[in-house]
Amino acid sequence: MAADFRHEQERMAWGLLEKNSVVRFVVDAYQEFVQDLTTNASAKGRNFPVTQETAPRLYRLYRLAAERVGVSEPVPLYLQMEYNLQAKTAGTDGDCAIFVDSACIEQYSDTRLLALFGHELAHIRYGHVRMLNINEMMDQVLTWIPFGGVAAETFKATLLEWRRFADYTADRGAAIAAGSADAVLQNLSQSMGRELDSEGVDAVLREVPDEKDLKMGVTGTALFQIMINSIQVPYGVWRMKQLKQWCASETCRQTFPTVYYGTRSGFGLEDADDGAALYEQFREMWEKNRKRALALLHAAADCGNMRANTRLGRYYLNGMDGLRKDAHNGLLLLRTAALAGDPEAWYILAGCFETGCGSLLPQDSERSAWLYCLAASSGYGEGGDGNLRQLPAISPKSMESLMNWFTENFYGGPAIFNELAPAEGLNSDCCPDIDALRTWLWIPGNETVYMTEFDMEQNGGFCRAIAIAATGIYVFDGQGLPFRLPWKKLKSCRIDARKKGERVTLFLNEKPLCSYNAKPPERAVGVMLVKIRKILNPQKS
Amino acid sequence: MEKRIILKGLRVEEFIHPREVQLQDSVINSPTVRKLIESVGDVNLRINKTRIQGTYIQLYPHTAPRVFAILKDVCRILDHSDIPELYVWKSMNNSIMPCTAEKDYLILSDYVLEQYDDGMLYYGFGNAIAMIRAGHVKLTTAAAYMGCNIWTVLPQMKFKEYLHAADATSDRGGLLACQSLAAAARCHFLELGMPPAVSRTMFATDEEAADYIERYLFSVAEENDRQRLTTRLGEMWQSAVYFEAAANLMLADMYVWYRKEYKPLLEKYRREGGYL
Amino acid sequence: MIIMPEQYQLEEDSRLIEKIVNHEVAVKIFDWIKSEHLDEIYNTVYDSSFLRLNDTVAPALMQQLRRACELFGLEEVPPVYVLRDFDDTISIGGISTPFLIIADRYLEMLERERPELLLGVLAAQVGAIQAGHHRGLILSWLLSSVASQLPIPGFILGALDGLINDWKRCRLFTCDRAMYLAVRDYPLALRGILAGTVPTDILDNMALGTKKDAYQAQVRTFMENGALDGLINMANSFLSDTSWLPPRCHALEEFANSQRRVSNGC
Repeated sequence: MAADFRHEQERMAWGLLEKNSVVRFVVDAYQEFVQDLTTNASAKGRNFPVTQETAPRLYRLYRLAAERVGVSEPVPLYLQMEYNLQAKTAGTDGDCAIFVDSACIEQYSDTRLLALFGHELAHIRYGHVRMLNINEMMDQVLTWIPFGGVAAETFKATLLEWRRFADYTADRGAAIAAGSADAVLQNLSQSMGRELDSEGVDAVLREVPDEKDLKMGVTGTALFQIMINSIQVPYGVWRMKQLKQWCASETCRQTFPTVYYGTRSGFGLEDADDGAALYEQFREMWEKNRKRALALLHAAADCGNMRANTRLGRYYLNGMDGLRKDAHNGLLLLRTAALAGDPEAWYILAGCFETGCGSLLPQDSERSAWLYCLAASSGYGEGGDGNLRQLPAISPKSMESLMNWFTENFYGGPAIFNELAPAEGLNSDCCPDIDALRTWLWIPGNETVYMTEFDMEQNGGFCRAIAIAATGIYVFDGQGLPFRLPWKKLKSCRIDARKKGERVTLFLNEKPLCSYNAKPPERAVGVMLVKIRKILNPQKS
Repeated sequence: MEKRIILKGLRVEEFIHPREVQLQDSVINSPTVRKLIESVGDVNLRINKTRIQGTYIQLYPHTAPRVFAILKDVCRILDHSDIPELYVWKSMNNSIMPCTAEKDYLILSDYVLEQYDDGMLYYGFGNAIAMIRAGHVKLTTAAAYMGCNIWTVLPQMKFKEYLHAADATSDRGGLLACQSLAAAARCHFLELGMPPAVSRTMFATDEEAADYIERYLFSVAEENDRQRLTTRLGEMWQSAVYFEAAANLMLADMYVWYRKEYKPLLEKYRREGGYL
Repeated sequence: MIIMPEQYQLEEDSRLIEKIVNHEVAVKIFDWIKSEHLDEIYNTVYDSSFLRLNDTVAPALMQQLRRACELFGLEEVPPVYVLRDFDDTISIGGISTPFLIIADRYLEMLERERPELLLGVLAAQVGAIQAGHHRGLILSWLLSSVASQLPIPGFILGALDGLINDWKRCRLFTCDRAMYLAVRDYPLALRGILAGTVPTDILDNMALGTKKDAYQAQVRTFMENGALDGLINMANSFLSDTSWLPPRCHALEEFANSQRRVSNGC
């Protein structure tokens, strides 16, 4: 769970709202009832639900944002056809849904989508939802009660004040989800009518008067409420200012260093895109200016520089002066580097698998050996146990059965094998992506790959892949890390499929292996594994 | 995209939704509805037309050649001889609306002109022309005057049920005009909130579209199975009183028809000859 | 030479806006705004929630706005805020100090056009400010948004409301004339009226202001409507506060012709 990032004044304003228990009770009950009759009912039929099945890329981003913000409950996500570049959370705490405008899906990058989701998820994390949507129903519900009108007006004034600070909190959540305030500032500015770069943001904020608490009478308050409630992005400019201040603060640096250093505009690095150059600058700056050096390192990692990812991953894994320990983030960075083929990352991960890394990474001696071996073959560290040459290869008869099955199910489609010389395996002539695939699946350089089937992402990574190689099957199911199943193990192990909701998880000898949707396409790697196993060992179910 | 088949001699009965047929006698031919349509009357239609001429811009073949080329194609495909006038208005609205006064005309938003690719325009125009051919236009105009009021909800429910069935008929007409499930699906998904630029990356061909729609509808059905009673009641209420049917239901309806009757119908006209 | 309101303001507009701002109800409302310090609250809402454009963020717009202010003798360049909206174009806000609010999509479209069109559109608003339109518009907004807060009974407000509706239907004719005088280009001014209502490529094909003007047929049909349609137009006018496009284009053509006659006469 992410550390607390609540805005200090929001906490206080929330306390005032919470005191009015009668209003809260009435509103909660009404809202829960109305939510089911209106928003939930409408969403089912009239909005696009984002799930693993319907929009896998969006869903992955959404779950990533939820993980970063610290929301574990599965809140439904829907799309709606709208121009406004916003998202909103409808409903009440415990029964809500997020609706995202279609224009966002079209125009936003992945990082900006993370920021968008993060904002709403932050509202959910802090239990804001029931208060976000009650403005309209205040008049409907409370004016039926004696003195309800007066209560409604008082409550609305407190609510408006709280709402400003609630958005400050949620913007912090957005920055945490995106790993940077820059994406949040772009989202805010574009939703207000003009996407601003950092120079533009500074130019706009320079001219804005400081926030002030206005002395408003009854009429002034009413006018203020009417105006603010009719605006799409209330307090948008103040929100930008607040977020910039927080992301540059010492509190942010101590508690959320990824945001502090990841906000490139704070260090004048927003246009830098050469990861290698940034990494070199980091090395030069290390002894002179530690803060700037870390900012350069974060930028280099963000640009995809492998060594930067490994270095930063190691720093977060162990903690260091100026960067608090964050094993989760460290492992993610190491994962990125490992999938890109960095031997040092393999070596460090091998160590993590050898001892385990708490609940984040279970101890796995087989994977550890595999990674040590890989690292050693690239000249990093020593080989360790688990030499691949000791693993038995697949028999020609079994290979022929698998070839026939691939041909029958996937020929002419996505599966690839060497038609001219199957026994020689794949090369770059028949499979141009074979080198990238080998790196991604951690297939040792001297091992023959006979067949493969995969889906690539736009950024060159793989969202799923399966490769039939000499010593076993290498698999990546879209999440976590690749795994390898030697032939002997595949034939003899116990495989169980357990369904929970719409997900099925495959367990291999009681250890979770991979998961897929309950009605998967034929090409889900879990399904393919079960079928391959059946071909190799028909007796085993 | 294969060449589109001209459906010379196409009759509305060949693609009309069976529910629309069932409700025609009980709803459309009922004295109440006839009176409603009469009360809307020609004067109101002319007021509407004047308002449109004063606010929207009429398009012509030389000012909007691409759009008119597609409209003419659609009229040929659906065997509709009278090419309607075309007006554009500034709005983020995902539809092409047929209206009538002395003559039929269509209103489309500038959003449609910007977002729709050619296939989607074929579908949108096909939907509108099918509405004209099936005689829905005066009904939908009358319904627009109806509004929604809790005291008149019971009499309105049956009529709205008819309108939903009529919409389903128009969707079939749209599919017949564009002859591409992928394009039709993009239109439906746009209404649901998935922009075409993104849905194009999810499916390109009709086979991919069919596969995706099946998985999508399965996912939606699974979600719906977990609904509470109050949500179901809300859905029923909305279905009864909203002008448009739920977009997911419309997609499912169109897809079922595509699987069962669309291809044989197209095949019949392919044999009779005539490509665009 | 500065363009004065007398050169472009429609007579009816001038008459009505004078009547509106001097109406006893309007005077009461403006006094009330002052006494409640609502100006400060109103401006705070805009400052806190809208992006204010400047030379860094919108250099082309600011340059043309300064030019428009010079042409109409407006000493202080009004602030410009942007909002994200699909349907809106440009309007005037502000209580004591007027400002402009422009929709993002409309601004992006104008920035892709010739700079003179941007000048013309902004000149229309600056000319409107000089003709006192901001006072009428803020009254209109107050009556529609915060009527319940006003210290005046609803039935009395109704009279002022009706007057404002009449005025709003004719004020855009003044704006169109101001635009023409700023750019002195009839086809461009016509384009300024219709820009944003159709995609740009279609607008290009319409050949506005030329012999092949594709909008003229629609203007003629609308203007030459028979008695029944004339009644329909009247009925519609009472129900709405917006001006129809065909009469605006027709009026602009007449104004442009009269201006050409004046120039040729000189």
